[in-house]
Amino acid sequence: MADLLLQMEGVSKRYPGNGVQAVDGASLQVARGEIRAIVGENGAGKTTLMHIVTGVVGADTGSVTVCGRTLVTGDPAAARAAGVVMSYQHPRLDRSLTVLENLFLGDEPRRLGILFNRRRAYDRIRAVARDLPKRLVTRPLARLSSGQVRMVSLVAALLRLPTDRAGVLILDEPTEATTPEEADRIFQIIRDSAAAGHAVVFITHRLPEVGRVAHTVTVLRGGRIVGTYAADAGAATLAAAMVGSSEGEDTLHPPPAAGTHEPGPVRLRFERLTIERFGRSLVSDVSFSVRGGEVIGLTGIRENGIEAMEGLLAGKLSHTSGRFELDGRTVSDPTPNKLRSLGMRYVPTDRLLRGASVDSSVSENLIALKRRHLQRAGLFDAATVTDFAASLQRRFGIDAALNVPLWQLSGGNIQKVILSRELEGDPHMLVICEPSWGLDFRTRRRIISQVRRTAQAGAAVIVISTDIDEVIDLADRVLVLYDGRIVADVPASEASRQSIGRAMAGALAVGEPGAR
Amino acid sequence: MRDRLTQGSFRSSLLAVLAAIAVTVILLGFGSPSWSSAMRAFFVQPLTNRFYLGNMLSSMGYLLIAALGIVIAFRCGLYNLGGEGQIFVGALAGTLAGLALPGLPGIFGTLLVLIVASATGALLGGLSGLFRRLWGAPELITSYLLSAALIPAAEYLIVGPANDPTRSLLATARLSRAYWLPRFFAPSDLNLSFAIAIALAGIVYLMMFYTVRGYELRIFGLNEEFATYSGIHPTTYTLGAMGLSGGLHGLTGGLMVAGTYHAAISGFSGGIGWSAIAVALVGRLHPLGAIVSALLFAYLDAGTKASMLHTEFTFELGTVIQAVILLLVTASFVVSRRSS
Repeated sequence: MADLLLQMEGVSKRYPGNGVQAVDGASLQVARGEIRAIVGENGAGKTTLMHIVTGVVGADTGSVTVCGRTLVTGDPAAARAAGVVMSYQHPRLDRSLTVLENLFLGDEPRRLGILFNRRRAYDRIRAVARDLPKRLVTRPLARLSSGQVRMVSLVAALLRLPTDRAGVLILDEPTEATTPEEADRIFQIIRDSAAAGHAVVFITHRLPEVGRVAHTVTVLRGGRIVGTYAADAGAATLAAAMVGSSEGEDTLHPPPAAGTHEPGPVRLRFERLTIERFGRSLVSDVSFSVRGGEVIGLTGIRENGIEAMEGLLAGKLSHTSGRFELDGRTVSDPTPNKLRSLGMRYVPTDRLLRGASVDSSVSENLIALKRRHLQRAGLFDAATVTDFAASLQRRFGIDAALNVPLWQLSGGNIQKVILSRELEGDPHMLVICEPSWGLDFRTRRRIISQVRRTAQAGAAVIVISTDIDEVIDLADRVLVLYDGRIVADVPASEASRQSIGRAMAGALAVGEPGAR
Repeated sequence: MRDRLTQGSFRSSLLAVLAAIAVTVILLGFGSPSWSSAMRAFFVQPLTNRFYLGNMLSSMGYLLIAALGIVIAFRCGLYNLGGEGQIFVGALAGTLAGLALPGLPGIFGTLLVLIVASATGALLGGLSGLFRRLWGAPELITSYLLSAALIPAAEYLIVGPANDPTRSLLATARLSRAYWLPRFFAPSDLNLSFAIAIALAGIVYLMMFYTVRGYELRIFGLNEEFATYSGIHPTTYTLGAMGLSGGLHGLTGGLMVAGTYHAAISGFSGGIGWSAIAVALVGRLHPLGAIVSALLFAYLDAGTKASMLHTEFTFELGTVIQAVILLLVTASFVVSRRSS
């Protein structure tokens, strides 16, 4: 028998605050060198189960054994000493410190007893993540993309893994908010860690990832372990197990196709748009328009212009030349305020930073755009505010009380709060970035149909995403940016994963300057 | 850090205060030969005597208004450390305006003093907000430096050009009697300012939690980026909150002149701008919490003064007690942060 690094027997946990049985009699074994995926819907108990291993959460019953040591649950120090290391879904890193400082905070290699020995620090990073670019390491975290931050939090976990013996590496949604290339690097790191003799457990919402990197996969539903399968079990089997067999079939149907209704008036128009920054052109000569009722998918590899387009549509960047029109009005110098007042709705890539105030309550997050319409005689009308928030809560199935701070919610519920606020009340224009990050497929499907419905109600929708499948699924038309230019503009019905992938890599642009 | 400032429960503030009182009791034991008489002087004296009680409430009012200024700035994510200067310079400007136009009908004279004082404070605060908006200069530093530079300048005016040589004090001339705020608890200092302070606390509370402006201010304070993307204009709040904060400090100075001192006196602000920060923090940046904590600070201050007069208790020990409270309050923030 392979030697087991992680053994859980009959573990249960009920949260006394809300009475939720988060984990119910779960048993789990993970062997040395094994990569285990954990899947389940939002709220299935995946994160709680892993928090019991790390000692952040104490179990009510059951035992946890790590590398042969039986742990007293609820003791993070003991779990660490036994070799458990976890990389969190929302890492709490300091945004003003550099990557290097974040990685070694409180555990700096020293020179002469007091000086920070940077060389030793670099060496230790290189030992666990060979290809982390050195220029990235000296940057403040605030200047990193969300995908790069994920990478940093993963490296932080790797640095804490024991080097002289086996450990258990736990990752919560390691590829959330990453680009496909970043995801590939993260997978390689996971494989390397397993090959080095550690056990790796990772929580994911992306079922295709399971087959690509895991050896085995455990499915959780409502706090119980439904089963453990070989990684090649296939998405259909796993999905059915996640939602329960009777519902599985139905849920797997793709969302309804875009409506065949008449397109509305042009709501958004770009004409020969160029965005330059620091003498470098980020977007060149981009022209397209979006009608009411239409969903445009804008995709491309990172650093090829989609971030700049998001920046422009959010009001963070201005265009240097060309025209940008909203509802027939020329926007010469976009600011967030101006775009919002023209009716723009925006779901940013960085949800927690730009999309929400995590320290405010759910209700305060929900009313952000509606705030001026909820007053009576100059003061907020409590009943109107509550009615409004409760209606969004119901409509989007937000599973949390309205008065709790947002940071207490699960990742999926935070997403729902943001999306419900932006989709509310038939907007004219919607920009939505990476729509399904961190969502299980049922919630994802719900979001997709909500976005569709918003379009059918007359909105011009731009989906900005690095996920090809998502763009093809969701959009009527797919535009690909490469090197700041539009290199493909095809109806989604004619787009294939391969053709879009080639355009993203610039293959179509060769010899075809300005190709459409 | 500011995102956690408001979230710790009032319970940990209470705990800090109780611990501070315990330390006070111990210090009183060491600081004076008769422990029981010192205890009585500290805790009971301020409440038994009309003069002490009135003065205590009077200084509570001033502390409260300045603390409301801090609450507004901190809730907006801005650190106004220039309160002391805004109070002092505001008071001087108000006094000078009142002295320049001595013949107005009473109420207008009072209003003149208060408006000029508030406007001066607002200008100083707003300037720091502007610097931050224009050049990203941290308001924490500019407000402090501005205040630190202007206090000596104001002192110079008081002892120099604006000094009233007929009085033996280092002070300006007195405002005409018609400009004084009505007192109502003779022989103490208690005057209309106290009622104004309580009313302002109520207004700030309503503004903060029941108006769109207050909502925008709080969201801006918690996540500037998100606020901006929700269409909240950053300039409005950086300038507005700093201006309002400075304005409330200036008003404090104006009221101290119109209500208590009737002239600008050298060093008369006496650290009230700094105490206001502590008051605001103990009150967990809540306008109504500030009422309670202003009362508490005023009470401890009155106790210290009473024990100095009636026992061997020294001024330094009084300062130590206030320092202990601040320390414990800070500690309570750390604890509530850890546990969340």
